[in-house]
Amino acid sequence: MHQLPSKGKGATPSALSRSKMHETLLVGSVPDRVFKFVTATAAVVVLGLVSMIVFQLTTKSWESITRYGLAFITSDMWDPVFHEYGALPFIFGTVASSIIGLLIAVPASLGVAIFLSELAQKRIRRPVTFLVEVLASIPSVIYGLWGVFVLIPLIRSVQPFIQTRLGFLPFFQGPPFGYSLFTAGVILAIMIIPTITSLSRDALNAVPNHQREASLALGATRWETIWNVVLPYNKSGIIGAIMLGLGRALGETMAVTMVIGNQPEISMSIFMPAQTMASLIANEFNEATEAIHLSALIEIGFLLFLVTLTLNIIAKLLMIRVRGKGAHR
Amino acid sequence: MSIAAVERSVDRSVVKPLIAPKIGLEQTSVITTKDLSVYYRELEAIRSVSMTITSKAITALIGPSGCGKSTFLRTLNRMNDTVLGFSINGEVVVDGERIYSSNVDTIALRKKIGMVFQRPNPFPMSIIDNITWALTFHGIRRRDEREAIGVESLKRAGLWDEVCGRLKDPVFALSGGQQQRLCIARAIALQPTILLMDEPTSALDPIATRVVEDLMISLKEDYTVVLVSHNMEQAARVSDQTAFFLMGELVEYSATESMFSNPKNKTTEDYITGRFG
Repeated sequence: MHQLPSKGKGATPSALSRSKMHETLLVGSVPDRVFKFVTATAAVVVLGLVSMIVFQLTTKSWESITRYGLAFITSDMWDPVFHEYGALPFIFGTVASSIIGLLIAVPASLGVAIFLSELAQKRIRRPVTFLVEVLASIPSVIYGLWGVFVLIPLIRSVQPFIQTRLGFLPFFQGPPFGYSLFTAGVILAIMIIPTITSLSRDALNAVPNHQREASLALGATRWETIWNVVLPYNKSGIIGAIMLGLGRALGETMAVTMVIGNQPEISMSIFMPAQTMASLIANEFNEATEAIHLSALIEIGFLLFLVTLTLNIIAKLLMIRVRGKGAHR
Repeated sequence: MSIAAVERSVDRSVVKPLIAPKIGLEQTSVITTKDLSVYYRELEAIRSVSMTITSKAITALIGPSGCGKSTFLRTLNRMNDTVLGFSINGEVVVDGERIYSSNVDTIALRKKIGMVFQRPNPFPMSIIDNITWALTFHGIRRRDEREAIGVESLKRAGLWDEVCGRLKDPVFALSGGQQQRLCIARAIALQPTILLMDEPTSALDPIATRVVEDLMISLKEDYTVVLVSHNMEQAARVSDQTAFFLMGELVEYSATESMFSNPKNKTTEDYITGRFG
């Protein structure tokens, strides 16, 4: 509650005095007004920053947008020497590595979230939650280092084994580079597990207890209750959590750049190197001396920005539905 | 038989579902507790309660808030198992079986003992799915069979006439009273012999309350009903036996009529005459 300024002794809260108080609150004393001005400025600056970014991205990439048009998205040639710029390999690399990441991260995160919200005892819940949060606070370059020195050698040694079993499928072919889409996917999965876990745990916590009781009282097992009642009750919240995780995966740069191999190729195999939009920008912006090259890179950035923005908006909308559900039931 | 088919057959007033499910069995169930004490960690919520609940009758549990009546009720179908720090002493015997012995199948127990809660808690599914959902994992594989049982349960709960044309509608189209009767229908679809009702009308308006009370009275022909009620008039109206709980202890337990006309215990008298609680 706000501390109301108490002017007038023993004022009864009549309609008049209350409206007066309201006025005082809105206009405020001098320090109040200064405070309001400072916070409002901060809010405006944030808005201004976002519009500036959008403005810069469009103007700086305008040359490339007008020159290549839609071909920029559909072409798979990226050759700065001959000024041929097609973003398809990077779109592919971004989408494919993120999908691999999701395929690993979603079951793992939902498992942890279910454990934390439905099954674990309090004294286990705390440390596990803390560890998941620690996972989120590790800088991505460290994930990258870990990927290079631990994961890549591991994949190199495991890959031949997988290939003797599943090598006939095009998804698992290719020499054991280690630097690959799959490695990037695994790293991304580890990086987005905290996001998906904590948000979907919140979504599960928002499910009212009477739903669980209704199910248990009908002779449902714990598993049947979780799978058929608790999870579906807050489907939109969990989907929102997954989308925010996906948004993070799409934009992740450092760790991916270190392990994906950075080859602008579209390959069926998850064991082949690739390149994402973010890693391309990180790799090439330093050498982009010609205006059109820079413009093309910025257009890639613009595309990535649009995709993640859309995903985030959808996720936020889903989350709002979650909170509404938790509030009135 | 699909729902539509069932609806059609009802329209022609030939009520003959494919498999006539037997709602309301001949069997009766008896619940007995012996020196039952219930603890939440160190807190003793129920102290040494021994009582036998009559079959095919309504037994009302009354008492002020926090007296342990709800705890007692939830102990009867082991719904307290999930509560942290819950433990019991003494025995609860249902049909000759000690339900807290280690080899008891709680799933089967809860199927046999239906429960209705304070607030209507339907699942966010269609009206008919609310009832048939639990049947899927209780071994009724055929959809038409489940739906026939659903229709029978709705009829038994007196809801059929109000919902027969819109079984596939979302459940939140129903009023609170209708939702509560749906929850009752959902419970009796599993063919229990005992129904536990935890203040089932506390979230309902007076008219809906009346309808649910009438339903309870008709249900006692087939089921052993245990009713927790905050409302003494309700206990007096519908129940056959009344148990008065105070601070975790069973103070008085007798036929409703004699308790309300001639309470043996002074505290009981004070409570039912509204001097406290």
